[in-house]
Amino acid sequence: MSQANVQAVDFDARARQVLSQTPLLSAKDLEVTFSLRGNKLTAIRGASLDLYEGETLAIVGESGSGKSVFTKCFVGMLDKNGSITGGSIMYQGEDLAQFTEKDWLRIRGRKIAMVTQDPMTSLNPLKSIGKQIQESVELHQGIKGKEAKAEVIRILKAVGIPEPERRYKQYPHEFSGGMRQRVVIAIAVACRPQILICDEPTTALDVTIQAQILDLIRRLQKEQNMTIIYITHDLGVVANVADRVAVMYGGQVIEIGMANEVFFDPKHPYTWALLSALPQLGVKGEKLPAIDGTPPNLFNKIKGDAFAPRNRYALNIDYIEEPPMYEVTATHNVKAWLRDPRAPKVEQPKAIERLSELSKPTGTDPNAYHPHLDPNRETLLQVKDLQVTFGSGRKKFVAVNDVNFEIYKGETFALVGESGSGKTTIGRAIVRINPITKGEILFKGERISGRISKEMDTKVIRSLQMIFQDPMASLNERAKVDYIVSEGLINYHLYKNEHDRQDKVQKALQEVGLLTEFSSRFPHEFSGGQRQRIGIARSLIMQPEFIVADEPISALDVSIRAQVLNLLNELKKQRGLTYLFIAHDLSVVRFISDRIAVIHKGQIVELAEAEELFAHPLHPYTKALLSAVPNPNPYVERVKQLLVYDPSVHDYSVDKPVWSEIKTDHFVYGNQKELDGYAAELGL
Amino acid sequence: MAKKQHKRKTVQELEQPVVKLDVDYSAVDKEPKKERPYGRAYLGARSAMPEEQLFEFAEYRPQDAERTGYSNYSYWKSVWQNFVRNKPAIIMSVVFILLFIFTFVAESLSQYDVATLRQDNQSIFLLPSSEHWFGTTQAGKDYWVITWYATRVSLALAGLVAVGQIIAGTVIGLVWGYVRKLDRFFTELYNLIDNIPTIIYMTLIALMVGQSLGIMAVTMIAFGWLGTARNVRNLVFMYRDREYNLASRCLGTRLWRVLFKNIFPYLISVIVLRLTLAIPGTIAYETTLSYLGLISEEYSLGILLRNARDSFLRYPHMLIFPAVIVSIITITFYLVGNAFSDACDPRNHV
Amino acid sequence: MLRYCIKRLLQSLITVLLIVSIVFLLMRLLPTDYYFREDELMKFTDEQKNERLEAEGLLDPPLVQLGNFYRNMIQFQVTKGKSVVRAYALDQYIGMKLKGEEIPVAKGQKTQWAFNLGVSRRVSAGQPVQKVIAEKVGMSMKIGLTSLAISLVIGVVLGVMQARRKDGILDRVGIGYTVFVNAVPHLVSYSLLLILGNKVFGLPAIYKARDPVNSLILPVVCLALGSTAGYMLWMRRYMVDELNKDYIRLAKLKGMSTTAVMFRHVLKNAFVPLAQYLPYSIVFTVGGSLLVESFFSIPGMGPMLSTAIPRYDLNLVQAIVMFYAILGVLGVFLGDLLMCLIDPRISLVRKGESR
Repeated sequence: MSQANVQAVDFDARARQVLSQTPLLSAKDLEVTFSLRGNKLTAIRGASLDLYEGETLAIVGESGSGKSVFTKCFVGMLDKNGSITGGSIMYQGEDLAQFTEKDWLRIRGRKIAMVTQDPMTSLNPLKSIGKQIQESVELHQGIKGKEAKAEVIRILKAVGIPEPERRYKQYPHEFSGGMRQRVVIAIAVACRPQILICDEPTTALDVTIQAQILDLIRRLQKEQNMTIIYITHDLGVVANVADRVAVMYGGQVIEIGMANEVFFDPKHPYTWALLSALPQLGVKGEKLPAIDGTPPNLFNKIKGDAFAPRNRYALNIDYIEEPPMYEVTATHNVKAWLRDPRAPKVEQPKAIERLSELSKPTGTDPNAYHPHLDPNRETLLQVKDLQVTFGSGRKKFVAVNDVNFEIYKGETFALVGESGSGKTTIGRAIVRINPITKGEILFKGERISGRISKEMDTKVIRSLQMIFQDPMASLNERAKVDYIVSEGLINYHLYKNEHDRQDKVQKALQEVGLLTEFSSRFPHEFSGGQRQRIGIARSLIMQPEFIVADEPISALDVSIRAQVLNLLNELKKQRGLTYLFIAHDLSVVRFISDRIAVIHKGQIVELAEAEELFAHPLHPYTKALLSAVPNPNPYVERVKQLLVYDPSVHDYSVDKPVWSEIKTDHFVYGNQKELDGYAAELGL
Repeated sequence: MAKKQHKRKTVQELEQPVVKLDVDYSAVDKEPKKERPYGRAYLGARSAMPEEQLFEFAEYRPQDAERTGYSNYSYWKSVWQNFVRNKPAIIMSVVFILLFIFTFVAESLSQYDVATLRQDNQSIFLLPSSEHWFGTTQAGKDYWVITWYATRVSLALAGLVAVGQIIAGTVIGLVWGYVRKLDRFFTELYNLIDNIPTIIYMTLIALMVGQSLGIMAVTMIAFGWLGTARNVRNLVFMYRDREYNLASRCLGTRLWRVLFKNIFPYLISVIVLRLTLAIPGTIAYETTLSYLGLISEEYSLGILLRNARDSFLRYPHMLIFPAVIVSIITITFYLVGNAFSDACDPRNHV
Repeated sequence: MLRYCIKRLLQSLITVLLIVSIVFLLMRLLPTDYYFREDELMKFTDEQKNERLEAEGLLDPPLVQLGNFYRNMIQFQVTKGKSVVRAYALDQYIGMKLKGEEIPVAKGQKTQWAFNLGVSRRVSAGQPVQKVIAEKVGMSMKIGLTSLAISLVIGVVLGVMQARRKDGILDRVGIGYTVFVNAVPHLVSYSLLLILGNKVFGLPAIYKARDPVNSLILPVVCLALGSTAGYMLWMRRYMVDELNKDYIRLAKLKGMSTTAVMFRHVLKNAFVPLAQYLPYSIVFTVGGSLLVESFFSIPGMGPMLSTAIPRYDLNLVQAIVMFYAILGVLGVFLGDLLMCLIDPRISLVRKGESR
């Protein structure tokens, strides 16, 4: 089923519209300070923004950029220890920055509403969802009782919740994440606000659900004529929703303009860096232009431009004085010294030019070596009929079922699926953290699943390592980096003496691009990207041949992802490593992997070479997943056809599905009838 | 590098050519450069820069980029800083430490000695005086030496029991939490014991084994580990499947090392909290047990308070002295425990 | 739901049986002298003692005794006046009925079903223990329920007020109160209250049967003292916890006022975890408070154990332990049941989760 979509956007028309209006809401030089036990943190350092009626303004930035705090000021929802210490927010002739809690009751919800980030915790667990929406309706629409209930049911239907009468009485825990986010949106729109602020509403959701929610927000905006501020860190989402884009860094808006201007003609070095670091714009086999370092620590006083130390185009003045806003066009402003007439002229990086070609396949290095195409390919790891179940009896849950694949030496094999698809379980089963119920796993032809000898166990540990998803959780906070990195060495006494051990730790740290002095520090002194590299050093020190990388970049900021991807590629080249790369984001996977397997509800549905999969997806789930992946080109993203996967299209009652190689190295799961259809699609 | 290409150019010159600046990323990453002054000194040097240099490219150094987000946060330092801010806890701690030292010298200041106190019908219930600083008891014995002796007995008991409970609780909790097979067993055992007020067990033991302080101490440990064990178990459950422990499993780390290096450090705050709360808990419990006649000791704070029950309406000094001492001890540990636990909560850290 | 209840009840029953059995067996380790009244000990010879013990089956192996204990828990008794002439264990009775035998009942004798846990030998000579206990329960419940009601109302209200104005004056005073009550041994605070009540208000220092109302004021206040502090502490903590949750933010974002959010969202959610222990507290009022009742010499359940134990009234101890075990298990069970009713997240019946 494909959903009706908007026609291509005309940004110029929108720009003219913007220029003809006075702003609906206007924030000027806003400054927000948090006091934390005597320490002052300036989260917003003079940010300005105009919002025009009927538009969708996206605010994009990394964590700590202040994008969330900034918009919280528009609804008076700053945390207790934070306060607006400067600037103004003008809305309907009043300055929201001066509002008291009592004043806010006139505005909050009624005029400006907000959709929060985490749908799992945003709803009261002890109240039925109908009642929670009804509160909103009764408060703002002046209707009560039966009438209000009817309205709630209407809204539930409007946000796409089936069987609204029955759902009205249910409690949040009976809803999935995507459904809960629909309820949260329902609560916000039930207020009939003029402005709707969406604070990363889809970050916690799967891509297919994300695409549906974005569609929903767009539809509601049209129906209710709302103005939307959309906060996100994902440039693909920005491309999807935004008429205008504001880029935030270090508590300031550093570039703002129409979406086409910011995407195709950005002027701030940070925006350049952010866009060029996108794996979608990378050339396979080449390094991504990563941004070094991490966003600034706002506890420290920032002099000059906050981005300067990470900026490859930084001028001397960037370290001394904060740049003013320069006008590029009437709608496009940028806060960078590079726009000063005295500054040297610099061309925008090449990668950004690739953005306009994005509907075509990613550039590929023609000389790249693809291990699976090698006639002498060596099977390093083999997974046969794998089944993993959790629990027992009535609570038994089959996490992974009937999974088969082979990984060849030297390749990056990607396993892509949504949350709960069992992809992590497979990774963990391979490194023997999760026991398996059925099937077997072979490493270099030897069985490593189930009961194995002690020597074999040692061998598995030394040759198979894992990189974990969450850099915050994957390091022991109470141990020094030195211990963390050398844990494996200590376990198997793989060093001659203390000096040798330290030497090895230092080498491992250098290899992942960390300073050797870091070894005597604790993990909490490091940023996410640095911590992830410490985790990689910990696995590398065992000299493994095979690494399971479990979503190694999904918890990282956009600007830092490229660092880790580059590192993984570099290590693969130097050491001849083989990866099982687990991810939910197809765009990343396309850049890094040789072959991709798509997994749905514990079952691999399709497996093919990366470009082949993108060019000729066969299984309807793969197609749906591909259609939902956000594309950072607004022109492409805005007109994309979203496919929704409906598992009931498969009729497996008589004709049982099989795992079949439909074309060389292209596998798909389906019954005979479906396979025939797929073959026809491929023209075989 | 970029800097060399743009040495000393004026504004006019800059207007004309468009510079292609494609940074060679690999070169930047590989060459570690000499440390240059960082921070204020460096910035100070720059602000004196002539204007034409201001718009030249600054030297790009990835090491500086690595440092932009650096925080010098240290967990235990923050804990200590937070703890010290808690004034009541600090004041009470000082008071308690002085009191604790005093218990060792108090008796030697007096002319009496606990061991040689004799019943003296002449001096029953004397009020405090220069002769008897805390007055005398119903048996005419000097209350000063008795009170301080009793304080030491109670403190020793409380310390012993608290440490015993915490050690037992922590060890059992670790095993309970980490060894999946034993979870059911310990949970049932816990429910079995926890369903009934501990005082019932205490009375049964007192009935069947005896009522000496030693026996009661052992019993208090035997039935007092539950709370700590459960708390520890829940924490172990929480940390057991964190990714860093999975990483340790991947690296083949042995069980004892995982418990000791990966899990135990996270339990310290809870253990200290439990320990500090177990002390006032034990003292309070001892007074109750003494009152119910389950402890047959000659002197302890609990016993003194029990004995005071019949006389304090007429002779308040019998109550006041032990009550004040008991209160100082229990309030101190209660405040310190809670202050420490607050200080340990990362949410309270900057 | 029913399935769950039955399962939990069976589990509870097993727990009680286990505890009672262990206690029963442990007590068989004590010297047999404790089976006699003090006066009997003085005058009985060893043979007489043995005869008695033999007759009552007290020389049997402990496991046999345990079996007999459970068999005789429900008895069919033949009584004359107030004394029991003969008693049949349940299985005996059923056996006889099945064989068609009649139970001989002489003239002037009556029959009855009775619950039998033995007789109290020392505390109240010759009385069935359940009777001894039953006499005391009323008094304990009276004090317990009154103080529970008082402390619940005051504690919850104060806790809520504290949370609303966190770090305000009331909050600080409240925290000071909870610290004092929780830290200082109850014996000390009771003593202080006693001095206050006695010297200032002239209330009786110990229970006087002639003046039950006035003499119960202090015990009730003392008992309420601790539980009020408990309710305050937890209510405040849960309120503060709930106030920091995401859903409160969303409720505020709807445009609800702080007060409305407090009453319509926070209060119920904060009270739920407290409610779990409410049945336990209510049930345990029956058990009385050991310390308060002893402290004021109130003839309730509380001091029973501490009187029975030094006097080695084994049957009574046995019965009291069983009584408390049942109360404890029942309290926990009712608490869990209540949670199922008020917290929709805990579902006992597997509903098909729809997505």
